[in-house]
Amino acid sequence: MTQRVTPAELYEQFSDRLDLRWVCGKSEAGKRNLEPTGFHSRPSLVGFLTPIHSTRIQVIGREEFDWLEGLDSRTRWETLARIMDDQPAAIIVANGLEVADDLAKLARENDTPLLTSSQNDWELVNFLEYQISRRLAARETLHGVFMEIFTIGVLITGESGTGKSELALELLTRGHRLIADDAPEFTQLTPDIIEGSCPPVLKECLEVRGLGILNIRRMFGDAAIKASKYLRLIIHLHLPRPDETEADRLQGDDTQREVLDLRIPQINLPVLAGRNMAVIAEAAVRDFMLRMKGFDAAAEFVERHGRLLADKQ
Amino acid sequence: MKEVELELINRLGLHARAASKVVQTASRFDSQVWLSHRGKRVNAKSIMGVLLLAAPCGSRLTLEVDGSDENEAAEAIAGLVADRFGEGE
Repeated sequence: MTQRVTPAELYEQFSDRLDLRWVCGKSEAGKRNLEPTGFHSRPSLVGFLTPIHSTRIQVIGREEFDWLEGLDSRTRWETLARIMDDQPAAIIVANGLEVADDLAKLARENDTPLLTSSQNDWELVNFLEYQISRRLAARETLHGVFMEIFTIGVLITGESGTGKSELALELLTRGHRLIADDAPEFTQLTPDIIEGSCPPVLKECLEVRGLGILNIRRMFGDAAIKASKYLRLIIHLHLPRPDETEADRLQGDDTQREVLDLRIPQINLPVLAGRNMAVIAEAAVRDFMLRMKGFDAAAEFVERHGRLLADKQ
Repeated sequence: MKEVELELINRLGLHARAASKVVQTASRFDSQVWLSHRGKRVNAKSIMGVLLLAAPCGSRLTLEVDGSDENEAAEAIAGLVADRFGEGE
């Protein structure tokens, strides 16, 4: 799915915060898109006015304004015309500066959305850059239950019938929190952070076979729900297959799963009769936290064992 | 692996009862069943996912089935959609 955002949406969302006002081009603003830029193109979506290379939203601040003022009228006209030719998604005159008549006229002729803002120019650039890249970030919907276990964002995956929802319910009764059941949406915020949240339709709901859809907030209270969380760990439930080779009993069965651009550690847990999966999931998360801090129980055990053998020889 | 395009022809689209029937049908088979609509891909054996699609009348869905009984599963689900989920409108 390609994300995009239009200047009109930005206006709707941030007009109060940034004190944006229309000069012209309001009708056109819903049609011009800001799309994620690939690695090949200049990644600049918002930037200061420069006639040399265009950005999608051009901001005219104090310096750009002074520079334009300093040009002779012919060069100034040509410069402005060149900027309009590049079809920026919008032009914003910042710092509460007055919009020059020729700029407004050219914008009107070219149907270019033109806005003013009383905000500081670089604050405007920073703010918009952050908000737009957040909106345009890569997204993926995964199948599973996304929960917070001991403050860690854990995605529970597994084929249907492996007991994901049952495990989620048991974890909820033990005081952990639900973010999203079944189809959590993950967004890559930065190269090493993936945030998961719940699509609005599914908010607060958990489906358990035989019980139907449950409202977790109503059943367990506000504290049982979390709006979003960074994805740190995946617990994958699977039914044991008879032909499968036995997993390493010392280290456990750890793999990684690629989610968007990041490799997330995954613990594979076989679902066997008589195993309390919630207790095992909790233990898996506690062990994961220890390993994050640099403590590896298995490695320590192997070392201790090695020392014992060495002493005996 | 089998992929089929489906069009929702019933008036209400993929509403709650219809979604429930899709899940019931998909769950009868061993194969993995996935439905996608507008870039969202969900497990068709889970009601929440199918409800999330919220696909209205006239929308096109992609059905992906993978497994030993994929032909039967794809046929059953396509049949259900073509039959307007057995609700006749």
